[in-house]
Amino acid sequence: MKCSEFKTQALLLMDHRLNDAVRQELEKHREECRTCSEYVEKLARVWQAELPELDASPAFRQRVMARLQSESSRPSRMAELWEDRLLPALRPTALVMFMLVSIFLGRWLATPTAALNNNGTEPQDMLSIEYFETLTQESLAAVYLSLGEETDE
Amino acid sequence: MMKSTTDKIQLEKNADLVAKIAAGDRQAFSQFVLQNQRQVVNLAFRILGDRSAAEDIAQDAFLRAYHSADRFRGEASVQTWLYRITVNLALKHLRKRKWERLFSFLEAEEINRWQTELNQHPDRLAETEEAKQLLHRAVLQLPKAQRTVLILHRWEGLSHKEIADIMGVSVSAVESRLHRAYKKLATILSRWMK
Repeated sequence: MKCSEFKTQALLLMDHRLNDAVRQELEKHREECRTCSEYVEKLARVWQAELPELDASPAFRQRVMARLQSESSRPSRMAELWEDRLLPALRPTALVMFMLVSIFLGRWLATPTAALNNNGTEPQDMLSIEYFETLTQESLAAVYLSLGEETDE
Repeated sequence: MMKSTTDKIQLEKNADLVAKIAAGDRQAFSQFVLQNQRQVVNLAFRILGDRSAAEDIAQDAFLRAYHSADRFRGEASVQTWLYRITVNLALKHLRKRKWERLFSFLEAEEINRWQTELNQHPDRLAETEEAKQLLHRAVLQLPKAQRTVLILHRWEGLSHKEIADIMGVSVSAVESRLHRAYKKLATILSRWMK
């Protein structure tokens, strides 16, 4: 076992959150490695510490009561639901939608049909054989050249 | 870490107070705030690591508890209910400020100071403020869901089931997050305690 692997699992070992096989493997490494043995003793001292505590300020209750007094009405259940559940859930969806629309627009603008649209013809009409047949060789060449110019840019 | 007998008696009183609050009794609400303010402020502070934000979130949590007291059905304990409100608001606050820099140069300097203390006086470390601060800063480096689960379990002494109720996830999700939190925290501490 590598020392880095031992250190990653050291807290799980201290709080008895490992199965017997893994625990025995870690204990074996600890006995054999002096560095890890010393490290785990030091870590245990930090792990024993409580987190810092924060008392409410003396005026805390007064502030809460004052805010309650100043509130004109109770927030609606729908407003709470929207803020707590729906909005956080919708954010990623909105982002995905935005990306999809951006990709679609990007691809659409890059297609030859977008360039042909400069003629004032609807894109769906350009896909028909009839429209293709109406194009003269000159106009096809013009489209080809305009596409080349866009690529160069 | 474990709930004391006094806490249990207080929780029973809390249930009575919530019933009165649901009926619009502001005096009961004032009493309820007084009895629970320390735990709520402390929990918010442990999750956020910011004193001022912790008080703001705690105030919001009590006001929300006041407005939703009539929906409290007693399926979970009052503490679980109040903690759920606090945790939701704290996580929402974290989501809002996630683009802010969480680690300033000042904090990096503080960590250096704690590391020095750690190496100079390892024997009395657990009693020192430095150890508490070092541990808290390391916990604050964890992703917010892992951090919350670890705080609720290790320092609030709640069971996996209670944490699952508070966070609205399954017990197995709590266990998985807890396992990842232990490993990630150990990695962070090993970097700081070379």
